[in-house]
Amino acid sequence: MATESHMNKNNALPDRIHEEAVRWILRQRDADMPDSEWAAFTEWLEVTPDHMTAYNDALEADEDLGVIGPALEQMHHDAADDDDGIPDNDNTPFNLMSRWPAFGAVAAMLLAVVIFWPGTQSPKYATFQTEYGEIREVAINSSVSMVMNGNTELALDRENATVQMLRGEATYRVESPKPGALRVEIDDLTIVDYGTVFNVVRDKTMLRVAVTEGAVMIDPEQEKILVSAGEQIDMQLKDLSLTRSTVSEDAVLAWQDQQLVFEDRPVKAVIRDIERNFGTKISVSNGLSNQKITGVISLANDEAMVINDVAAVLGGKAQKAETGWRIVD
Amino acid sequence: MQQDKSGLSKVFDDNRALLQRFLAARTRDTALAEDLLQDVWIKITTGTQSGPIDNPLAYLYKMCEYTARDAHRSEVRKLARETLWSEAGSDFSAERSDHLTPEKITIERDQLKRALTELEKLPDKTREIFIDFRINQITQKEIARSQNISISAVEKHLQRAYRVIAKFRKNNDAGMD
Repeated sequence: MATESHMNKNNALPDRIHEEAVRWILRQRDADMPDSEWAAFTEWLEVTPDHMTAYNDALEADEDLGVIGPALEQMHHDAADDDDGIPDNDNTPFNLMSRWPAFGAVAAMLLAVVIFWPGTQSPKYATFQTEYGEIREVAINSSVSMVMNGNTELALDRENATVQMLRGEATYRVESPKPGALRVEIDDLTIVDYGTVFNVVRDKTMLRVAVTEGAVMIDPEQEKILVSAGEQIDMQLKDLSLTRSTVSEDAVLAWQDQQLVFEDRPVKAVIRDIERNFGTKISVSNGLSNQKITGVISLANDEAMVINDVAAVLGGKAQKAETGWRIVD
Repeated sequence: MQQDKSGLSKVFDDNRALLQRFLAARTRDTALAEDLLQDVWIKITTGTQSGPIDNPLAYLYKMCEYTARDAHRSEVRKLARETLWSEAGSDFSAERSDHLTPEKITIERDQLKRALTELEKLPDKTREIFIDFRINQITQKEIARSQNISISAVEKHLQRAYRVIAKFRKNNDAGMD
């Protein structure tokens, strides 16, 4: 594979070195590796550049295994013994680091490439609009479907499987072996899908794309930014500047289960999501707005309860305002 | 929260030389190591940690490691997409859906399937231990206890799974080039 050929140029290294490299990965995956072992790892790396090479190779294998592992588990699920207290996911930043998503070469290319580029056309569209709190699933054709979050408006051209996203949030699922089964347009940016699951949020000013399977290429002519499964980008529509972050599939798709999952997310982004789901306005006093939030919000609870909880997490109080809510110190 | 943050940056300052040494050994590129160290510093001074950190220095090492992995990945991706786009040619705006060929995607899918087939051949116990460790995130120590075997025996099982994939990647490369 052309995309992989540069990686495995060191097949001649002794097995012992490969084993040591794997051992360092295993230790890191185990319970937290103490600093004394990190110092030992440093010394091991310093012995010869071959150690770094072997380690990077082992990482590639580790990432591939992370992709293949779940499939393997599924095939043998019945046989598996399931009574040994598997720890539940735990949303501390530390654990998140250890669960950073895999980007094996196989994984990166596996399912999807999504492409943005300028240019659009305007055929006949039907408009779909959801109310606040309403979640609607729409089949576009036999292999493409979307789930719209509340307060979302989009125009759908079924014949050409093209969606113009005007505002809000939706997840697109494409189960087609043929690329280009779906086109999503956001102003003059186009996303073309190559068979994947991805979530798009658009505001007046920003666009967020989170990919849960496969990979996304943004602006292939110039910036050539690749976003892989487990990553999310927030892009300003006015100048296309962007920030990227890591995100879990659970967090991306949680709104479909009436939940919002936040992992170390800035208050402003959290508030925006809550506003969209409840159709309300929330202002946060400056003293509280520079924090980050990790946690789960159930949208099944009523609005006042959710906003009071959020206020408490921020260390403030919620007050009813003329149009919505205020969270103050 | 505030305390953790300032605590972490103090530990960073006190151990800067160690972390730099690690990154230099990890990347074999002192300029890159310096950049990555700077990235880590920015992360700890702008991010928030919730909850206490048992071993702040180990935590910082781990941040350095992940930053190095990210940098390596970006490099790999850059190479991959340069290849991709040079192969795709420059006329993709003309024909929207064809420039990334489905064949390529199919090949990758096929490789994954074949890798899966290789892993399938592992003995049941090896496969079970591998899944517990790599997917369910159970530690080697816990696996050793529940399987009633030594930790080094657990490691041997795991090494086997990694070897299968390493070998698969190697053969694959040889075959495709």
